[in-house]
Amino acid sequence: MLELKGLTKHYDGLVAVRDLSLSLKPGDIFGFIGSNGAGKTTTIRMLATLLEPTSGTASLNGADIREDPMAVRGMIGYMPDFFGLYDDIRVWEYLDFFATIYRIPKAKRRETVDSVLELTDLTIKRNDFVQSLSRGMQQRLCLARCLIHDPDLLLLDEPASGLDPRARADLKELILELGRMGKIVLVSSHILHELATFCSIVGIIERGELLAFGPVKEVVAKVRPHRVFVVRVLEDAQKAASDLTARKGVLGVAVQEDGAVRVDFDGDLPQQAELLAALVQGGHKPIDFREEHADLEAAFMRLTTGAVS
Amino acid sequence: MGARTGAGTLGGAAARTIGWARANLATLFDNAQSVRDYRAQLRSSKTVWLWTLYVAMLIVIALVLYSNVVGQGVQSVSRIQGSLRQFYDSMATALGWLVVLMTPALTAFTIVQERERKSLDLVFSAPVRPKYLLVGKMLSSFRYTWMLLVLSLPVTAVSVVMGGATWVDVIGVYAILSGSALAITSIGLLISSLAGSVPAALILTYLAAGVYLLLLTAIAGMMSIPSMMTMTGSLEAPFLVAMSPFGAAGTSITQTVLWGLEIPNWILGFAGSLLVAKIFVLGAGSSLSPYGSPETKSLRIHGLVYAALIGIGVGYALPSSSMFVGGSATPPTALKEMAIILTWLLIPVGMFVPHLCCCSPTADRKYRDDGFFSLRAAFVGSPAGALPYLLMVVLSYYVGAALALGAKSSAAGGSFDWSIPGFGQSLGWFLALAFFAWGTARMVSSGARTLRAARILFLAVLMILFPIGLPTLAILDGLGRTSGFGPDFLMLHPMYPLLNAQMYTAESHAALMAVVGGAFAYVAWRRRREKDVS
Repeated sequence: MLELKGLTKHYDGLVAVRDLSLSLKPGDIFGFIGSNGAGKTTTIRMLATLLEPTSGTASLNGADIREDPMAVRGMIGYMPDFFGLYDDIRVWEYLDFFATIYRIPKAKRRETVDSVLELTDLTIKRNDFVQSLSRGMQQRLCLARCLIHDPDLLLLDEPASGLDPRARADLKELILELGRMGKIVLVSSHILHELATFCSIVGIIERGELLAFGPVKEVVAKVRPHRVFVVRVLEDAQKAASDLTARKGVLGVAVQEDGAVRVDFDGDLPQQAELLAALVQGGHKPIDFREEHADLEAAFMRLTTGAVS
Repeated sequence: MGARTGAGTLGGAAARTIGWARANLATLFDNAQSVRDYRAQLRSSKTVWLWTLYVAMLIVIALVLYSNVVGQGVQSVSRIQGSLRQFYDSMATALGWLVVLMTPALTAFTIVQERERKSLDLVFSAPVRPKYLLVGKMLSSFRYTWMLLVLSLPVTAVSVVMGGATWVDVIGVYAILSGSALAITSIGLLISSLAGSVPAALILTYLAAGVYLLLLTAIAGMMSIPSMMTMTGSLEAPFLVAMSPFGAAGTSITQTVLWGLEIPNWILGFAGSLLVAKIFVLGAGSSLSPYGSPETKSLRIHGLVYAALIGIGVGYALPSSSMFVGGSATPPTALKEMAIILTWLLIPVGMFVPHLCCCSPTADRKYRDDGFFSLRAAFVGSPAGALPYLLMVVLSYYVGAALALGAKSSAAGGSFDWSIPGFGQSLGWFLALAFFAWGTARMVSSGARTLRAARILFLAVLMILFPIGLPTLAILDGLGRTSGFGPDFLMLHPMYPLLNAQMYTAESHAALMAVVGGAFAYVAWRRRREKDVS
C-alpha cells in the first residue's frame, strides 16, 4: 500500500509539488500525467527517497520515506527518465551488480538474474555488453534492474520515451504483467492514449497540484459528465439540428464546420433510440450516428492550462 | 519479567551488532562497486601489457640508478654498502613519486564520473549508504596503485639480496607508500564527490594532494628536524614524516618514543594515514548525503575528535621547556611554535569554511539558509550549525593541547596552569578568527546569487587576506624598516600575533576580528531579513 500525505516540495520560493495526497493498493497501475515541469519527476524522486520533501510524507507498506528510507528503498524499483547504465560491463554483470547491492545472497544471485532476464525477454543477450544493446533493450534492462529484488512498488519515469511502437507494446505488456503480479506500478508518461489502455488509475498534475485522480473513466467523466453524439445527414444539417433540439435528454445541439451535428446528450438508452427514430421520422437521411467517446487526452487538455511552476 | 526484558534488550543489541558486523564485512568483502570496477579495469588485455611495460620501465630506472650510484671498479665493502643504500633510497623516492602522480589520476574521476553517467541515483535508490559506494571506489582505486607497488617489489628486493636494505626496511617503505596512497585516494574521493566535472576533479585532486603533502612536510619540519639529520645518531622524529611518500626510505627507519617505548614511525605513519583516509571518506560520504544524515553527524563528531587529537599531538610535540611548569613562564617561544602549526592548520580550515557556512537562495536542500546560530544544527550540517561547530573545533583543539601540556607538566613534576599568559590569548584569538571567517562567509553568501559564486567570492577574500595580503604587508614593513620610516605594517594583519609570537597584541587583534566578523554577520542578517520580507 502506497500512501502520500500532503507531500510538498519547495525550491526556494518555487513550489514543485504542492500538498499531494493519494493512495494506491497492490495491483494498481497508476498513470501520472503532466506537462514537463509539472512535478512528476520531483514526486517520483521523493518517493525514491532521493529528494527530501519540504513537508508531508509518504509511506510504503507502513515504512515512511523520511523516517525509514532504507526500508522503503528495499521495496521500490526506480527507473529514472535516463538510463544511467554502466556500458563497460556485460548484461548479467550489470544485473549481478544490483543483485549484490540489494543484498541478494550469493547463492541465489545467478538464479535471480536469470529469472529477471527471462521476464524481460533478455536471456539471449545475457553475455552481451550493455553498450551493444538497442535503446529498447536497454530500457528493458533498466526494468530488469528494477525487478531484481522483487519490489512492491515500481516507479517508472517516462519509460516509453524514445521507444519504437513495437518496443512500446512490449513494455505495455510487461507493465500489465507486473500489475497482475500484485505490484504497484507508477508510470509517468506523455503518451496519454497508451496510458489509458493499461492504467487502472490516473492522476493529472499541473504546477505541482493534483488536478484529478481516479480510474480513467471517472477522470474523463469528471471532465465531461454527459455523452456526445455526432450525427451526419445527407441533406439539411441545420434542420436536423433544430429537430433534435427539443428531444428529451438533449442538452444542446450544434452544427460543426464539417457539416456534422454535435448533440450533447444526458438521456437514457430509450431516449437515445428515440433520437435516431426522430431523425428518420423527420425525413432526414442519417448516414452516421455515433457516440464520440471522451479520452484521457481530452480530459488532460481540458483540465490543464500548460503552465509550469 | 525484568530479567526477560533485559535478555530481550541484550538479544536485540547482539542482533544489531551482528547485523552491523555483517554489513561492514559485506562492504569490504562483497562490495558490488569494487567487483564491477575490477571487471571493467582488468577485462582488457591492455592491462597486462601496461603492467609489463611498467615493470620493464622500473627495471630500466633501477639499472640506470644502480650504474650511477654504485659505479664500477674495485671498491671497499663499506663504500659499496653506502652506495647500495643510496640506490635503495633512490628507488623508494621514485616509488614515492609514482604514488603521488598515479593515485590522484586513478581516483579523481571515480564519483564525478558516476554522477555524469547518472548512475549515482540508481545506486542510492537501493538500500545502500554512501559508505558502501565510497569503500568500493576506494578499494578499486587503491587496488590499482597497490598492484603497481607490488609489481615493483622484485626491483626493490634487489637491495635486500645485494645489501643496502633489510626486509624490515622494505616493509616499512611499502607501509608508508601504501598509507600515503590510501590518504591521497581518500582526498581524491572527497574532491570527486564535490566536483562538477572530471577535469575539475582531476586538477583539484592534484592540488589538494599537493597541499596535503606540503602541510605534512611543513608541520613535521616545524615540529622538529629529525635527529638523524643533525648527525646526533638518534632516530627520533615526528611520526608525521612517515605519512609522506617522499623520502620513505629515510623516514621508515625513524621512530617515536612514547612512554619510553620506541615505536617505528612507519607503523604510526601508516596509522596516521588511515585516520586521514577515514576523515576524508567521511567527508565524501557527508557530501553525498542530505542534511542530518548519519554520515554528516559522524563526520562532525570525528572532526571534533581529530581536532582534539591534533591538539594533543601539538601539545605533546612542544618542547619540554619550563614554560608551563611551576609558573616560570616564557610563553612566547612555545606559543610561537604552537601558533605556527595552527597557522598551517588554518589553510584546510579556511578551505572548508565556505562548505560549512555558505548558503545560497538558488541551491537545493544542502545549503539553504536555515538561520544563524543553532547548537542543535551543529551536527546536522546546515549553515545554522556552522558557527557553533567552528567554535567547538577550536575548543577541542585547545582542550587537547592543554591535556597534553598538563600531562607533560605533571611528568616533569610541575602543573599546568590554565591561566598562563599566552594560552588564553591564543585561544581567544583563534575563536575570533573562526568568528571572523564565519561572518565573512555569511556575508558573501548573502550577496551571491549562487552557491558557487559565494564559495568563489569567499576564497577570493581569503586569497586577498592571506597569500596576497601577508607578503604585501611584509614587504611594506621591510621597506619601512630599511628606510627607517613608516609604521609596523605587518601589525595590521590578523595573523600578526601568531607570526611574531606577540601575544600581547592578541586581544586587540581578536577584538578587531570579532567586531569586523560581527559587522559582516549583521549585514548578512539584514539582507536575509529583507529577503524574508520581500
